[in-house]
Order: sequence, then structure tokens, then C-alpha cells
Amino acid sequence: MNKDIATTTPHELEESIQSSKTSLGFWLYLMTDLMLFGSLFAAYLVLKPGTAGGPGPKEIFDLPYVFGETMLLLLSSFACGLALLSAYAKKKRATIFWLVVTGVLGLAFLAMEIHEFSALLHEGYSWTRSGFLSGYFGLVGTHGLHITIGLLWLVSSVVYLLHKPMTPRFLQRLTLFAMFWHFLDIVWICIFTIVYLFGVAL
Amino acid sequence: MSKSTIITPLPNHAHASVATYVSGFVISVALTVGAFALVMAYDASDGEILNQRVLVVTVTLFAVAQLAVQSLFFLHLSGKRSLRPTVYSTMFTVATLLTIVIGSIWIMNNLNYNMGHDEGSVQYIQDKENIDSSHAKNH
Repeated sequence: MNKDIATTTPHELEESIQSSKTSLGFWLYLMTDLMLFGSLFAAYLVLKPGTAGGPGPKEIFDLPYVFGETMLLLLSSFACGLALLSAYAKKKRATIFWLVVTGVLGLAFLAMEIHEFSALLHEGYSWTRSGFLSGYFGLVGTHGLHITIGLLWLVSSVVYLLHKPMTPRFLQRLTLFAMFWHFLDIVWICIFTIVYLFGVAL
Repeated sequence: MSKSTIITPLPNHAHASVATYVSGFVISVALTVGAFALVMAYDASDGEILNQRVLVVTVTLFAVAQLAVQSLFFLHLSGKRSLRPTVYSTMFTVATLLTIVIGSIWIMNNLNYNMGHDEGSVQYIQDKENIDSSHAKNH
């Protein structure tokens, strides 16, 4: 990172940022976040049989709808990777473009999730209805909250880029954002499989 | 570079490129579509075309494969020396996580059984107390 940004190659940038202490510190935060999600998964799985006469997973999950959500988040994660590559190549406009694509797809995912939640609440299936629904809203809602925070982070990065030049510090921060965003997609794979797919199949 | 490799199954891999992101994305889509299609087909046929145990094992393998693919192609985890702390902290976290999740399910199910809170006794209590369980009976 001591070298001037103009003379470093994308590979050198990637190398130095990836192995920086800042990246490792952020990774350790992600690991503690993984523990949080793991505990919520454990709580959900333990509470799942407790439907208290209310609906079970089969009645309330619409798999094709959730499949659409999954695809949006996966595309968003992919676009985020392309944004990071553009940033390492010092292509500012391409970086902004891919970041906006990432954000729009992420927002679409969040909108679908909010719609799903409000439809459940409309039918009277809130988190107070049963243990199963408490576990479900707790787990999936925490993921949605992370996505919301990620979107705010994304907006602040785009606004920054529109006004300021790309510095090594900005590239470091953007790398952390990309880690966060890919991490959330990885957590979603687990939610899609354990909550939704197994909810319908078991 | 041979000195820097560590004992993990991770590749000592090349740099991030459009190709790594595209292959990660394509494999992820294929695995997601595969798992989704299997469950949809299973559900539509009321479990006749596929054994439930086979389905669960296959879908789990698809998910684990996708976690590995995204960790390698999107998060660029590798066996590089500079990433050693990252890889070790991840291994430790995953081990702790599996203990928490599997341990919770095991202990709570055992407790449920020993306390008589299995489906039969819940049904008994509901019948006795005249609790409306029409939702539960529907499925």
C-alpha cells in the first residue's frame, strides 16, 4: 500500500489489500456474525416443530417466489464482484455502474422479502403466533437487516465515488464491502436450503 | 511458492478475474436451480418419484458445494501463506458452529422426548383442553 496507486497493477492491489490486517480484522467480524447466524439457525431448528396449532412451513412458503429472491441476491453478489474488479483496474465509471447494479438487485431482493413478511402478517401469522414463526422471523429478519445495512454502506460508497477520487483507502473499504456482500449471499444459501427447501420437503 | 502452501484442501490459486466470478456464478446458478427443481418435483409428486432421504442428502450436498464454490470464487479463500489466519479462523468458526447447531438439536429433541412433549402428548393436551387445532389438522 506504500506505492502510489497509479503505478500499482490490479494484481498487486488485490494482493496487498487481501492480506492486510484490516481485511483480516473484518473477516474475524464476519466470523462472529456467522456465529450469530448459527445460533439463530439452531433456535429456528429447535422451535420448528412448535407450530402451536398455527401454520407450518409447508402452508406458508411459496418456493418459486423464494427462488426468485435467491436469484436476485446471487446476481447482486456477482455484480459486486465485477464492481471490485473494475475498482482494482481503476475504472471509476465501471465501478460506479456495477455498484449501482448491485444495489438495485439487492433492493429488489429486500422488497420481495418485505412483501413476503407483510403478506404473512396480514394473515395473522406474525412472530407472536408460534415458536416456529418466532424462529423464522428471527433468522430471516436478521439476514434482511444485514442486507439493509449493506445497502446503506453501498449508497455511501457510490456517493463517495461520485465526489472523490479512488484512493487505496477507498479500495480497501470497497473490498470489505464486497466481503460483507458475498458473506450475506453465503448465509442466504443456508437459509434457502434449510428453511425453505427443507421446510417444504420434510 | 511451495513453502507457502499449507495443509488445506484449498488451491494456492490465481488472482481474481472476470473468469473466476463468471464460473462461480454459473456453478452457483446450476446448483441452486438443481436443488430447487428436485424439491419442486418431489413436492409435486407427493414424494413418489424420490426417496425423502435421498432428496435431503442430495440437496445438502448441493448447498455445501455452493458454499465451497462461493468461498473460493467470490471470497477468494486460498491456501496462500498470507491468508493462513483467515483460513484457520474460518475452520475454528465452522467447527464451533456445527457443535452449537447439532448439539442444540440433539439436546432439545432429547429433552422434548423425556418431558413428554412429543406430538402424541400435545394432541392429548389439545383434545383435553378443547384447544382449536384446525390448522394443525389441515396438513
